Amino acid sequence: MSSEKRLRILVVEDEILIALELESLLQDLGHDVVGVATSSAEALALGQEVKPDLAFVDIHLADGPTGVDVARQLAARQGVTVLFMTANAKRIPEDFGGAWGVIAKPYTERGVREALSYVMAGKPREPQEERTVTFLPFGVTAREGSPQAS
Amino acid sequence: MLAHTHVPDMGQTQDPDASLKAAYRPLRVPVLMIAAHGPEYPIVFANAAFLRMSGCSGDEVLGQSWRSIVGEHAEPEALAALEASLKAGEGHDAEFLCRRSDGASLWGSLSVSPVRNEAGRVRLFIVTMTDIGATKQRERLLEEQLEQKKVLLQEVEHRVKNSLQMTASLVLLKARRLKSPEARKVLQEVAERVGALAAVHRLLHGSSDSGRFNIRDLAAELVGELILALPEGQVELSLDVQPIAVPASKAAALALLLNEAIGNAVKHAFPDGRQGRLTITIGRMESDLAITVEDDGVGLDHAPPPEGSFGKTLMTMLAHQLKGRLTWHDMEPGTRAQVVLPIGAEETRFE
Repeated sequence: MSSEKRLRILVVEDEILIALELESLLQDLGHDVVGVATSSAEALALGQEVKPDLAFVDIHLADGPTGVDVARQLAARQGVTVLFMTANAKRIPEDFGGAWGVIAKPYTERGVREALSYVMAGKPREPQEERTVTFLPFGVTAREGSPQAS
Repeated sequence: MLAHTHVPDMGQTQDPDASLKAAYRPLRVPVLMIAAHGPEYPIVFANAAFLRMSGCSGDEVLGQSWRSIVGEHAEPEALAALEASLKAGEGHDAEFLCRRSDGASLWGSLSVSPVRNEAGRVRLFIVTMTDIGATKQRERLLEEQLEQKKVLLQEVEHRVKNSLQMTASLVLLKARRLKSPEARKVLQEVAERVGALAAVHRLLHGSSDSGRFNIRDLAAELVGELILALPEGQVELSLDVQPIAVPASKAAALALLLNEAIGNAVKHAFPDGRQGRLTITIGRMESDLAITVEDDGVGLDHAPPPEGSFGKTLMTMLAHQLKGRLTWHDMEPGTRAQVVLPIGAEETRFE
């Protein structure tokens, strides 16, 4: 995948302020936010409808800690690349729920940039010496069977 | 049963342990004696206190293997360890879920002591037993309460981080809607300062010891974010930061101080695409912590813009709060800001 490509991104986040700001940031970085969902049902419906390349998924949604299930279904059934974006990374299951990585909240612009370039490269890079603590890629083994953004 | 053949026949020969048994019989502590004959190690004596605790009669106990006193849920490793001690003729302490004759179980703390004959051979083992059910229950209760507190703490951490995220988002959203570049810049700087505080929470809650944090991680995090303001390749960055543990109580002030010092250099030292070098050094200086941010940019005299002076005021206030000394040097070219903070030796060791 070329790094020039505009990604079609779904934001799954129940705090509307955070969702809106993230949307602005993603647009500034040259991507399209094709939907914002605040609950699991909304996220799955939007996933079907708008067919995003990538989804940023918070673990706590309007209907509870349902983000992990959303990630699993978006990844397995709808072929969406998923990144968690959460202040509660301890909730992420051992198999990572089919996600490619996690951006820790409060996120930074750098964390979001690194996550996007990781996804757009389509393959994991070598761990860096001074890796940001705001984005943590899960590595290739965790992603087997999970689709690539393409 | 094979074990019975080893039990001394008390009717025919005089029991060499008769006086020992007589001494233990009236004790209020449950006591057993076990013959030193493997593999069964049969019970050869049980005092009244033991029979009361186990709910058994003497006939049900005597001649049975020592294993008969522990329940079927006893951990195999613990049983094997006790058996190994019996084989070696050594003393042993262990806790077991024991079985009562009525099917109920109780937590018993067993203490096994070998008794030797004149030749030094182990003749038998004396086992004293204590009912620790009440202690175990208290332990379980405490564990449950601890678990609840952990969940609560995680929830609070989560809310703190989410609130900081919302604060930053709120400010940035407003900034994006402003026409005036000056006003936008001010709000972006506020979001940046909230971001520095947020970095502290990410690092504190990510580490195993949330009472302390590593200043190297904090510096790397803040520099990584602030350097984004400059085009790649314009400024060469040199980071020499020792992994020093800093108490959490100083984390927020230190993060803001670092943010201002580094941000000041990034924003004001290299105007109009000026190339240069930014060096950040953090290390021990005798019993103090020294933070140095040095650039070879335009220098002190090149009148920083008005909002830059707020950054400097903030630095002075924070250095004061941390009981440190802040100094500025004109390096011609460039500026060096140094903060020297007293941080005790016991606080700065980082494993």
